[in-house]
Amino acid sequence: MSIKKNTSNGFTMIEIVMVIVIAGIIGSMAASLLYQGAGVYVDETNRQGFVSESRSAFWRLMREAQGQRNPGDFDQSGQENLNIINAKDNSRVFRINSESENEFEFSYDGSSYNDLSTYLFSNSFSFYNNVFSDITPANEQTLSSSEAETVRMTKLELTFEKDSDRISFSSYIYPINFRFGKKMTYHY
Amino acid sequence: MYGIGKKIKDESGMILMASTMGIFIILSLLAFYLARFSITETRSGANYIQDIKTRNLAITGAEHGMQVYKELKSTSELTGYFNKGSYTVSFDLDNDEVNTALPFTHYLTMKSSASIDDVKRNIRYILSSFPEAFCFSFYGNNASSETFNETGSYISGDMFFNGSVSIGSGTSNGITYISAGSGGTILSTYPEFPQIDNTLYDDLLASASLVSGSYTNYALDFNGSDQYIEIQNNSLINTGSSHTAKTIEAWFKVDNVDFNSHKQTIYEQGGTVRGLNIYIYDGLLYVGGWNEPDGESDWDPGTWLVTDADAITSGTWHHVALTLDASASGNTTNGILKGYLDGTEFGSGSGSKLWSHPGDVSIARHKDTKFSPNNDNNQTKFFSGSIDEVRLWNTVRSQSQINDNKDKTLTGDDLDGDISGLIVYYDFQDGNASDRETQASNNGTLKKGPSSVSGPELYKMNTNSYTNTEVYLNNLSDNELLVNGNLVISGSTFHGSGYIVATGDISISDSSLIKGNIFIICGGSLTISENSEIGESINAPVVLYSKGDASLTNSTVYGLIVSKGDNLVLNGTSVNGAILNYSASFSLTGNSDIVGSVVSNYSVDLQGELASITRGNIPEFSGLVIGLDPFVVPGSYLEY
Repeated sequence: MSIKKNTSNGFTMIEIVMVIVIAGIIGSMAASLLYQGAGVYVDETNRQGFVSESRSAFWRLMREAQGQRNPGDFDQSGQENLNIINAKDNSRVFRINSESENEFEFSYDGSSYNDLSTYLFSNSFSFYNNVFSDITPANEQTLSSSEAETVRMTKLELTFEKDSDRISFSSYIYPINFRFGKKMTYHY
Repeated sequence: MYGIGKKIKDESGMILMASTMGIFIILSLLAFYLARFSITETRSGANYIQDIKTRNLAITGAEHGMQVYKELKSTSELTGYFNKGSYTVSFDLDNDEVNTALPFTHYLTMKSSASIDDVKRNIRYILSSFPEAFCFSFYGNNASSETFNETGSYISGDMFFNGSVSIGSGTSNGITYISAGSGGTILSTYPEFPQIDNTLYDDLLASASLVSGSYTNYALDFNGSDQYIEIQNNSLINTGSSHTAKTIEAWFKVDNVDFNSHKQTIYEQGGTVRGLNIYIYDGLLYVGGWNEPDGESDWDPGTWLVTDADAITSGTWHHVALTLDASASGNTTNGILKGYLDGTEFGSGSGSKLWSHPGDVSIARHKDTKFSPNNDNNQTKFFSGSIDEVRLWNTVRSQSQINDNKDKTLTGDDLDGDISGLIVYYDFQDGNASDRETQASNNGTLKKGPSSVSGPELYKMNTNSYTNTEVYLNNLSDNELLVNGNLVISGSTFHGSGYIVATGDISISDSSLIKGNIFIICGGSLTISENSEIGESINAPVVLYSKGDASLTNSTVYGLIVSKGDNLVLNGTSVNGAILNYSASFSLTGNSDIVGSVVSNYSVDLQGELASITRGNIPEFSGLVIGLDPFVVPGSYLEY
């Protein structure tokens, strides 16, 4: 009796198909996990971008407000706009876009404006005199020149919203220049 | 199938390895990009925090810079390290942060730059090396009780007057009047009158008073029973026709101030009808005078001024002075007799001139004058204790003259300065009563042997003179010329930097040159005259500090003048810089021009039609502590 030796050494088609199927299943699961993970990262990235933009807008507002040269330079400021003139006599204006209330704008020169954020939800600029009385003008009103002269401190509040995220900032500002008295003509 | 199967089998290991590596590479790439997103966002958030930290660090640097500048006036670059960052503070004496020239030489830019990692922030302030009051051409009168009403000369630039300004004052030349009262523009808040820190000046004067040749002072001690000094009558003292102006001074140390068995006479001249005396009784010091005859002034029974209880104590040296400022008419007038204790007036009362009052002149004994209230005048009454530095003047010495000179000796006829009225001077240095002043040549006679003892601590007045000489202060110890006495500079040149200090008077004359960066500190009166030049330029200035009267005539000054005496007079003198005046009498006469700033505790008397005050540059005095605080120019804080 002779025994026929099986000389076939390769995978069978079934084995190959099974491998491919299993690899496909594992690959699709991995891809799904990666897709979900990437989605989380993208969401977080967008959220971080929103937070960074909001923080930068408020930081810029604070920094410029601290550089206010004289109380009288708050002239025509109100709840929705802040007028600043720095030590180099440069005008800085922060305001809400009258046509798009979500746009918080900043001007280097008082004429051309750039968006600091397009996610503004609400804002409030308040003004206080030397006995800390609130002298903030009514909504859509502005400080007169004489009222501005009495300003010693401001309170700046901004809230931004994007999708379901909302972030609020608030700070009292006592401009650094106010520590040294009022700028007078005889100083120069 | 066999072929395929064989091939796959043959390459199966390779295929599996490649597949695994491929999946690994793909996953790695995905992980890399995700990590990159994460890092980018984390850095973005961190930069925001870094920006805040860096800005705060820059502000910290600026605070550091301001403190150092205030304390030392140093404009050297400063560095600091904090919170893994660093700051650098630099000073620009000429320009701002964009190289625009500053408006005055005493303004400077202080820049603070801070860095943390790759975040950098810059801020700057504009500082003035002088207090805010020096922003005016003329800042006057801290007392708020005067009205500025000067019609001669002119003031140019903003002027502030702490009082009222009369309409039409001054000659308008671009002037803006600002006042705290009426006239001009009323300023509701205004700079305070600046105060100078005298520490540097007082310390140097104290050092000068200790220079070699210091004085060991002697006095005479009296036993209270029979010892005294007898002085002969003299027309300059008590005889002659009449006496209108008198000053009598002495140091005394009484053994028992509360002794009340009889008066202890320190000094007397005259008799019971006319005379002056100084005595102690029952804890109190008296100075008095009288001139009784009806046909004369009828100053009867006379006036005695008395100190408060406990004003003098036993065993302690005190200085007493009596002054009489009578008119020639002989009428009795209120307030012309004054008494001073330790340089301070303790009372005033009525008096008159004295007609000839021969009687006697004695120290430490009463013979035949009288006491308040006109009794107990006929017994001999001696003083128990020590007496020194008896000075008789036929002028009326002011309180400041008495106070400024009581602690230093005079040198008789050799004394420079105002001793024109000195008629008798006993310093008791050699144990007798030799008169150091030769007008009266009235030596006293010691009776019953009063003994020589240590006197009060005085310093000796001597005179240092520099005539047609060139002096380099850096050749002297600590760059200091210290004179315990008077200093005379004539036709000489002094090179700085350094200090010229004299406890007495300083006279600079005859085209003398005082080069830059020199402090001239005068404990007495300061006189500058005859085309002398004090300081070289606004960048090589001097500080002139005078505790006594200051008089500048036909000279030029670059720098700062601080006048703390009774009088400041500028006559035909040009000042480029600043004046800080505490003198009640302050006048500009002739063609005196001040370019810079004048800050005065009183008004100014513009006597000369050509005199002017114009706002201008003041020396920076970098690195020199002059006792005046700098200030931050309002509205100058900037982030850039």
